[in-house]
Amino acid sequence: MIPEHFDAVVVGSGFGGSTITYRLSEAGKSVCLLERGHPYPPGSFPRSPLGVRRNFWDPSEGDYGMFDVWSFSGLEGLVSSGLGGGSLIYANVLLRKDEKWFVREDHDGAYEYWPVTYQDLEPHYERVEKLMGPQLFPLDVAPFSATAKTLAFRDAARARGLDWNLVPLAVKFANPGEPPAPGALLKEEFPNLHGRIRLTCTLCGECDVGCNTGAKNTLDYTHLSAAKRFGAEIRTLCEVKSFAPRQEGGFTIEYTQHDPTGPSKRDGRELAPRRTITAGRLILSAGTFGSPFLLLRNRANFPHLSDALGTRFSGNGDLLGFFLGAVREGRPRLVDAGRGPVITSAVRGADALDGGGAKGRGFYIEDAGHPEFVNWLVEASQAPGLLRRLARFAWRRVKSRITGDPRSDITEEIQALLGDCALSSSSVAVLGMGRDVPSGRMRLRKGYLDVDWRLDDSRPYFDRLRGTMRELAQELGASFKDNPIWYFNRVISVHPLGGCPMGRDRREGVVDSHGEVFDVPGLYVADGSVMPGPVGANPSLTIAAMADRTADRILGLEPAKGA
Amino acid sequence: MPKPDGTPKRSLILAGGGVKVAFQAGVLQVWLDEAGLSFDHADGASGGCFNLAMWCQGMSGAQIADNWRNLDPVAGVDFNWAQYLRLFYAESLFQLGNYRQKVFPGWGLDWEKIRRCPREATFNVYNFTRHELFVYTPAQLTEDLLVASVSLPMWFEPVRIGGEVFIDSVFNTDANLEEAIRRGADELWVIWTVSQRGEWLDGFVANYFQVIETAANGRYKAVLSRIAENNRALEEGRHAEFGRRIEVKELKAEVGLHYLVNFSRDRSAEAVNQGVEAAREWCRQQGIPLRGELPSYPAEVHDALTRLQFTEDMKGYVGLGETDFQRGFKAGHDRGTFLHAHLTIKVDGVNRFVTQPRHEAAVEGTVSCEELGGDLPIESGTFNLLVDEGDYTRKRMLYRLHVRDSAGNPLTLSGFKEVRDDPGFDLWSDTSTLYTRIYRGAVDAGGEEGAEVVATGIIRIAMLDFLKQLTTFRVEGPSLSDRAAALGRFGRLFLGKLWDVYAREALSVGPF
Repeated sequence: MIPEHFDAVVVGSGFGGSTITYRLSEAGKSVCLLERGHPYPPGSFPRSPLGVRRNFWDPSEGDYGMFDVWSFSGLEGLVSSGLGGGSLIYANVLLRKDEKWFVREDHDGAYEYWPVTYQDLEPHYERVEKLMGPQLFPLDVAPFSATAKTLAFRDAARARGLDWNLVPLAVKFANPGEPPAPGALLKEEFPNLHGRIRLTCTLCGECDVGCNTGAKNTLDYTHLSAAKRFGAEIRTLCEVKSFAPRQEGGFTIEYTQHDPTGPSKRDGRELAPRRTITAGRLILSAGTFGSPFLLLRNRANFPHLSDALGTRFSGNGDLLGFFLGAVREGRPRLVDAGRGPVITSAVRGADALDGGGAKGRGFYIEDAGHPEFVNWLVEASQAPGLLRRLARFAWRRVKSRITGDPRSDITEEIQALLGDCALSSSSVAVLGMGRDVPSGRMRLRKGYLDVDWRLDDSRPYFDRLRGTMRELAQELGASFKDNPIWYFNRVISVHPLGGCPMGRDRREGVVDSHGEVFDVPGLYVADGSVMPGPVGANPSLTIAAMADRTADRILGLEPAKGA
Repeated sequence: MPKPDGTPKRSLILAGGGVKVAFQAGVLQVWLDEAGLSFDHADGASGGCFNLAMWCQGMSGAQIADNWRNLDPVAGVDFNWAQYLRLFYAESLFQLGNYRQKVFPGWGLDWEKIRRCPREATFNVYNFTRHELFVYTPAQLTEDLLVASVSLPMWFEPVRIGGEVFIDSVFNTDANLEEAIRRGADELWVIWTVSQRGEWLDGFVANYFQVIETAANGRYKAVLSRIAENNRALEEGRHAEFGRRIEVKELKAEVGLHYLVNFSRDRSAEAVNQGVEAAREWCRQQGIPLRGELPSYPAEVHDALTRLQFTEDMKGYVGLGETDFQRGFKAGHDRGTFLHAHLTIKVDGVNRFVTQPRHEAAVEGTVSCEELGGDLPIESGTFNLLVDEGDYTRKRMLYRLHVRDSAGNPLTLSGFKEVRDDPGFDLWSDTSTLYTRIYRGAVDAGGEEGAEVVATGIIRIAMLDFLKQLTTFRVEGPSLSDRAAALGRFGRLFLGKLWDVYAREALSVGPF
């Protein structure tokens, strides 16, 4: 039986894969996009405790959910699994990489060389921005103007003379031509691929656990809906396992079709059968933890891959910090981190490369809100206080009955039961990121992925970052708390980069500056793994722009043999 | 001369070669039984006379082969004690008495039946008294004459018949092609087992047999060139010595069995099976169809089914994308591409294992390499212990392992150990160094030419792992003595083969 053949097969529907799928299908190529996770139309993101518990990616347990958690010897990682990739769980920031941060010949800590410049990427940034439509948070318009956490962050930054700005967000706050308003019906030029209605942002703070109103302009609404219209074949719950070059040119790809009603393995053996398709060109966009892993496991089919495979890993300098109990004039200051998109603004720490006298490596600190329901968890966790209040409420009610108190309005007593909610309303997390040292290395150990990134290589950077966070916390009167794992010399990264880095030649990198693998024509990598170092700012836009540049290369060549 | 029906007259030449003629018996199993060839005349000299006697008696090729497979080499050994007191003036070292009393009856030789042989046959023996070659026919065969035909001076006593002294004809002729031609043969089918390797070794024993090789090969090649000249003259229209075209079909081999000194029944059985395999391949090349293949086990099934296994741990480095062994090892070492093969080699049927020239066993275990995905179980594997391609002084141990990498792609690890005598003490490094190549796909020996190489390198057994290996031998068998015997046979096979490669100075071929 002859397997299906496509001009191109794309593995993974994140920022890289969606961009490639869109560009190639727009140009009339037959494209098959294979995504291991589910599609998520509005309303499909779980909110119940059981739903949240099962919303993880663990096929051997029968869980095909959205969150994919990794733990390595040096750090933890969190990435996503679903149609739209990282855009489903990211906080929407679309910043470009700073022009001066495209370093060349940097020997500080680890060798870093970017074979692509800001100028090279500029037209691609523009093209992606046009499709994703980033908007600044409309802080000057009610009711957005009352977003406490943004105001607090801005005030603290300005008081310290830090460089604070609103950041472009891929969130729909307004219909085109209309003033921004929360919860308005979104008018789309074309119906989206889920075929459902969308609303503008309702400021619920649930960006990171999936937007149930469809206000986040995720890749399934932008690139993938357009690609589908152009005829792209999108297959979900299809996880690619192996691929090999064909003698007659092109590639054979094997994937398993997951059955979401049960586990994918029993006694170590796969249950689902494998399907095979062929392609003239193969684009790996499975993410930093996906593409290098696939290449490492299929090494035997590509013995001439560069030795640089697995190198230049970094977490983009990600670091979580917590500001607890902000205070103003002796009383709890309202920060209300559950209201508004997760990230609205950023403080920029200049890099020595920017000139102007700054020392050290550059960074961004962004306000990181959380979903409203987390506030309930926070309040419920104040167990001693709750018991005391329950006891006092019970005592008051009993006393009222015994003494025959005529007052029937017990609103105040109920409110007292809830406490002053000071902790949840006066605390906020912040997410720092920036130019850490890409000294990590990915390799296989006993068939599993292992990353040996060490925090100590980037310690000066982290110390500088935490210093500024502490300053901001102090300004807000809050106490600064590190993520507890910091004390074990670990961080959690949501922006893993590198592993399949680009370089000028095969000694330096696995792919060239257009994402094509050295010595394997027709094989491309288009995701965060091609970054030869940290992006600094949030990487999504840069990943998409790089993929757009790769799409140019794919479309510019003659078709590969076997097409 | 062509026979009345027009077909050429075919002569079977059973040339001598001491007990190397066990190989000849294997060839006869194929030529006579499996290919169904028939011969109009047969000639025998020295050891070939044994096979000729059996042919005259009417035994099938398989029966002749089984006779050699079942022969206990020690049975024929009979020291000539009485003579030893005479020291250097002794008549001979051994006697042929045991051949008369044990070997011939064991083979079922029936003198009456042989004398009644309806087919044309010529036996050769040298009459020392008259100093002439005596060619005799089956009707004249006696036990004395047959014994005289193999009576090598110094090793065995000369035979006195009717007051005249007879010895082995080998110093005069080891294959009487002229007699066959004189009797009108058009085709001479020669099975030649005397060594032509030309390696000169020192010592009395080595020199004795080198003298035999000189005489036998010298005479044989002289006759062959006369035949070639005869054929050439015919084509050119000149006078030809024999007046007609003579075609020589020769099957020759270097047999891994000493002419005389052998104490291992397994080794002579293996020589018979080598003859079988060589003849089958020879027929294939000559375009002679085979009607079927007969078993290569001894006919008697006294040997119990025994199993043997041991484990072997080899470690080293391979270089991805490399095709040269040394370069691949170095590239792998630099990059840290470590390969660890943990193998269990299982011999199912020790009898088959030691007597089959391929000495093949099954392999189980794991191949561990991080770059290929961790611990990969071996789906199927074969191991060949000390095999050669016709030159028994250069042997290889062959490994072929079929695995799947962690993405499910099939790979084949094909390795060999090069066991041959180079200057210096290289026995340890030869038997412990595996030159390894990993191919994409499931590749067999013939398919390596066109297969894609994934990685190449070298892995080794460390001394400590080898010592551990010696403790891992496990034998299964019906009784303790069967198990001990099996282990003994395995050990003798291994050491005997190593003797062939490294200890030829002591004896040109291992005696066990």
